[in-house]
Formats: sequence, C-alpha cells, structure tokens
Amino acid sequence: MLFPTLGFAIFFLIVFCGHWLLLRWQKTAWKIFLLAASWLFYSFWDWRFLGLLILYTVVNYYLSVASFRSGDPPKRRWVALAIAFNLLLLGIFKYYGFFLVTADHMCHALGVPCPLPLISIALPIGISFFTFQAMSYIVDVHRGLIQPAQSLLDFAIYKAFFPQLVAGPIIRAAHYLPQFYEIEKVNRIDVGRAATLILGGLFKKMVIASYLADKLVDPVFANPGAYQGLDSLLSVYGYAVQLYCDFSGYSDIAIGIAQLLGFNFPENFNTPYMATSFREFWHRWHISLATWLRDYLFFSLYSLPLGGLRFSAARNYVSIFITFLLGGLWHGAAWTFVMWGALHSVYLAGEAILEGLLIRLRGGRLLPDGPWIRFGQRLLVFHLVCVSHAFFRASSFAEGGLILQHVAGTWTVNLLTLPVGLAVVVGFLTQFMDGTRLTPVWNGFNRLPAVAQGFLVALVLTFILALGPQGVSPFIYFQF
Amino acid sequence: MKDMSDIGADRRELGCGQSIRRTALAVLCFYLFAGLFNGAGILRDAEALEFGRQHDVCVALAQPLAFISQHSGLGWLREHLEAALYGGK
Repeated sequence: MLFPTLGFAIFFLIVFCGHWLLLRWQKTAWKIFLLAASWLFYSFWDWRFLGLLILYTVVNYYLSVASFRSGDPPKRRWVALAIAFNLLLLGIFKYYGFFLVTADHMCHALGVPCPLPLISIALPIGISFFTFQAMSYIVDVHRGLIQPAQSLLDFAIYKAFFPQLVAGPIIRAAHYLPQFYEIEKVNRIDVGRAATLILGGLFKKMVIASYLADKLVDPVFANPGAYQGLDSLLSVYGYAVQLYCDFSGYSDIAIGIAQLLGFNFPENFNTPYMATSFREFWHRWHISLATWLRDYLFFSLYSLPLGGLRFSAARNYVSIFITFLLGGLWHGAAWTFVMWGALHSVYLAGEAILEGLLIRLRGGRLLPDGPWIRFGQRLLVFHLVCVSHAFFRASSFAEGGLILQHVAGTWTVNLLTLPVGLAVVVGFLTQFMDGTRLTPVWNGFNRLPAVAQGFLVALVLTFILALGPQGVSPFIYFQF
Repeated sequence: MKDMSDIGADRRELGCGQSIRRTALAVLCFYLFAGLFNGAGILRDAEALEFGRQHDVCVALAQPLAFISQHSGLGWLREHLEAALYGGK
C-alpha cells in the first residue's frame, strides 16, 4: 500500500479516527488496534512475509529481555545471538542470491562446480530497515541506554509502526518508546508541520521524482550508449534530484503521518546538496541511517584491534572504509552499491587527509573561509556525490562508467525541455523546505480555522494530483 | 557546519500546534474537500486498480464522490488544470 494512493487514504482515515478514539477509551484496545493496523499495512505488500516480521519481533523481544536480565558474560552471548539471528535472516533473504552469483563466478574461474544450491528468494519489503531497527534496539538494551519494552505487544507495535515500517526513517526505541508510553498525555498536534511535510513529500515524489524518472533518468540509464554530453550530464543531475525527492519525500510523508498520530520523529534530510564537505553531507543525508552506521558500526569497528593498527588516523580510515562498504551493501545486494559506498569512504578519508595536510602547510592555521570558498566546496561535494549516485542507479559498473564517460562526449541536447529543466531546478530547491526553515508557515497554518486548514490542504493536493502523472511508481528505497 | 540542534526538536513542547479535536475536524474537512475536488480523478484511479476486492470497494466508494464532484462543479479546478497541462489525463 503506497502512501499516495486511494487505498492508503481510506486506511489512514480509519486508523486516525480509531487511534484517537481508542486511546481515550481503553489503552490495551488501542495497542491491539495499532498493531493490527500496522500488520494489515504490511500484509498489503505480501501477507506471507508478515510471519517473518512476527518472527523478528518475538525473537528480538525475548533475546533483549534475556540480555537485560542476565549478568555480564551471558548478557554478551544473548546479544551476539540476537545480532547473529538478525544478520542471518537478512543474509538469507537479501544476500543469498548475490553471494550465490559471486560464488558461482569464482568457482567457474577456478574450474570447480559451485556447491551452493540455486534458490530464488523473494525480498521481503522493508527487511533492511526493520533488521537495523531490531539490532539498534538489542544493542541499546545491552548498553543500558534503554530498558526493554514493557511487553511483547509494546515491542511488536514499535517494530511494526506503519509510517516507518517499510522504508524508514530508522526510528530508535530510545526515541519511540518514551513517546509511546506517554502518548495519552499528547493534547496538541503540530498540524502545520504535519501538513507541510505530507504535501511537500507528495509534491517531491508525485511531481518531481516521477517526472524526472519518466522523462530524463530512466531513458538514459536504460540505454546509456544512445546519449552523449549534456543529455548524460543532465541525467546524472536529474537522478541526484530524483533520488533526493523520492526518498526524502517518503521520509517526510512518514514523519507527517506519525505527527498526526501524536509521534514526533526527527527529520531524515536537511538540505544535503548544500553540504560544504562530505562529513557535513552525511549529517544531512539519510540522517537516521548515517547516525545508525556511526553509532553501531563505525564506533564498534574503531574500538576493534583491526589487525594491530595503532595510529588513530589509519584506524579511522579503515573503519570509515568498512562502514561505508557495508553501508553500500545495506542498500542493495549488488557491486554497484559497494562501489557507491567505497566512493563515499574515499571521499571522507580523502577530505580528512587533505584538510590535515592543508592545515599543516598553513602552519596550524585554520583553512580560509568565505562565501566563494563555500560555494566552490558545495559545487565540488555535489558533483562528487552525483558521480557516486550514477553508480547507485546503474545496473552495472559498465553502465555507470559509460554514462559518466559520455558526459565528456559530443554535447548533444535531446532531453532538455523547459519542463525537464524546471523539474531539476525546482526539485533541487525543494531541499530548502527541510529542517525548521518553514516554521513561520507551520505557525501560520496552525492559527487558521480547522475548516480552512482542511480546505487549503485539499486545494494544494488537487494541484499536486493534477501536476503528477496518473498512477504512482514505488519509492526507490522500497527495494532496500 | 551549520548548527543543526533544532532538527528533531518537538515543537509541541513549545506550545505549538492545536488540540486533537480541532485536528480531527481539519482532517475530516480535508477528506471532504479533497474528495469533492478530485472525485473524477479518484474514480479513475480506483478503476485502474487490479480487479479484486480492493478495486470493488474503491470504485463503490469513488462513484458517488465523482458524481457529487462533477454535478456540484467542484471538480472543475482539477479538470481545467489537467486540461491545461496535459490536454486531460
């Protein structure tokens, strides 16, 4: 069930009314209703995978309780068991085919038969998101940052909460559970923020991302050899804008929907393409994943011996490299995603090395700053991110490489029309809706009478629906 | 790097927002207006769904909405926008 569909609109109206009515009446009934709604939402994709979600829920809950109640050595064993369980399921459902093909190629090269059986396994939607969510929960309980959920029912609701279930943002239990346990105290809803996020998200997805995919990106990536110069360059820019609008659009809608149900979720994007460094980019792009990778992977790797590396800088670079390789692989079981991760690790390490070198050359003085320098930095970071995105979108190294290579080819212009150019520019500018920049709009909206609020949102939605194409393609991050 | 401490801050703690009752009224008004403005488009989307129970339910709900939308003249805006942009969908 996609957010911008009639089916979801009906579903949400029922959930919204049931949620607030039951919460005031009977909390257990409310919990059962919310869980049933979330499971129903998930089973719309493929009801067979609901069993997998329930398995994840039950095993992680009991292992977290066991870890919380036991002393230190057994506690570590419970945590290790929980992480192994989560990674095993993720490995089977998401990476089995990838490793099978890789093993088959290696065996073929060595002239030996591949020992692994050929099985085609369907990918359960959202598995990467709820696996990471479960792992962060287990680790946070182990580290004593949170207490386990008070009951299996509470944990099941956290795991399955429908706005963030299939494509994030990855909401941590430390953020969700305190709100969940005090939800009956919520007596105000920031409707201005919710409405702006939902409408902004719909506009980004239904108008910009869909249009760019259809008219610019898909034609070039489907047949990269047929396009040259400006067309190839425009498709690379177009994909950067499409990816941002598609994923941040989904995140915004999810956050807005959660807000209407009384939950406050942090933003997942904050003007990423205005970053002046790669370090800053990762504070602004897919924030819930970036912080997850930092807190649960990078810091863990950094504290490991890593082959006896003693120098903190070298240890830092190796940890960055592994973190981003695995971060790339998290997105999808393909070497193009590994390449994307490797490029970002090189960018981050290269930036740190260059910065250190320049500061040393300047005798310890900080690097010069100014509007033009920041403009140049933004331009450089954006273009290098675009290069990595080309591999992210491509179906193979060769395809990604060919598109980038063709940018330098004959400058032909076939795809640049006024609507396409406008979609790229407007899509790029939508990032300025991120963060708290629209606070005056939110406050102004909150002051309107309720009927005017409903009228205004319906009016804007009508414009979005008229502008967008008929039907909605799935969000890019659903495949992860 | 810009200070991003405001990201994720709960504005309700600052007294922003409105009561749940008022929110519910706004949501219900939104559904009413959205249905009236987009009745024909909703029916078109419902008819495009794969045949099955979901299709039947959506079409059954969208038909009266489309009728009211067309006959009240409230579907005018979307029709004209689509005609101007695409010559109709």
